[in-house]
Amino acid sequence: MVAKERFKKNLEILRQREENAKEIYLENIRLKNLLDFTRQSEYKLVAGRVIGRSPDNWSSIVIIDKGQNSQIKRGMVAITPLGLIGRVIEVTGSTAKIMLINDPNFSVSSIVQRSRQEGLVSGTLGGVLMMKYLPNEADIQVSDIVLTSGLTEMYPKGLPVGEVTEVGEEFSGLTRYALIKPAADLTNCEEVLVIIR
Amino acid sequence: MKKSVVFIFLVLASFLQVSILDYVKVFGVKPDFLLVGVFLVSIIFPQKEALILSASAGMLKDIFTPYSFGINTLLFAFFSLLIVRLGKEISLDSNPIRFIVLYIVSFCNTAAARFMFFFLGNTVPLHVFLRAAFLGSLYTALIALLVFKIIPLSEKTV
Repeated sequence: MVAKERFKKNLEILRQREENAKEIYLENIRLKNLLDFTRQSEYKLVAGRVIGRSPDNWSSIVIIDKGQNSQIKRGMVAITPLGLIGRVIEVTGSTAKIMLINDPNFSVSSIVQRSRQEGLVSGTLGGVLMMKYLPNEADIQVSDIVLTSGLTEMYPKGLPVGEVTEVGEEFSGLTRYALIKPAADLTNCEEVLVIIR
Repeated sequence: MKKSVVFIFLVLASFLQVSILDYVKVFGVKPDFLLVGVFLVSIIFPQKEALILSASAGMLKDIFTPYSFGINTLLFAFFSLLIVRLGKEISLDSNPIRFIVLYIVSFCNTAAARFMFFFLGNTVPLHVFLRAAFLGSLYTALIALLVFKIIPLSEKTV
């Protein structure tokens, strides 16, 4: 009976260790990808871990565990290996707040990779972004890749923003819009890279 | 006993609000656990303690909110005072009344925060505000009903 109890306890401990090992393995893969990306990137990057998220319903921000001490300044651009994720809006010594690209106050000048059509991409607070003020004759279609155009000074040209999932006409009928699925995973991002140069 | 449970809830609510609540969003909104905490402390604690705890909860929320340090501290303290005063006028013992009061408080809190944001030059689109005000308040009030079942509230501890 005692042996059975001990066996159960050991089994539980082993299960817990297996879970921990799995978590460490997944973290290892993520960090390895980040490191590979950082080495290959033309920018000087600082990696930060996400330690908090926006507590309210009308902003989309994350807080990372790196700040001024790691040379991060307000206005710097945050990315993941998949693409643009946001920009730094507040910095303290050891933390920084990053406004994500789906925040309604976020907008960046972008370009469609295939047709070089320009437009302004803004956040909607949901899972998609919106490219607004497209002329009716704009050459844009579903599956097009959208990149930063470099016209918004702080964002380097060519950062992946997302992929077009829907193109529609504005209510007024004067312009069109495109819905874009962000390239970076905004909901589950655990680490971000801040471009410091 | 009750006081300590509410205090633990408040601390836990702060952690929940800035971490896993993002994964339980419904129609893009999440409940405001900290406001539920403010409601709880206002019912359970005497006025002075309720005010201090509510302002602390607001400060915790402000730390994680962009561009708005102080707004939630002020609003939470104000609404706490309002709930304490309301509790002296009407009975807040039944869950339907608590639900209605919390819905109204949450709605007013959202509206007041948007108003203040507007004057700080930080606009919130109307559709986002309406979603947060109507659905967010409903979600908060519904979650509060669950919390009231876990933490039974009967009379004020003095």
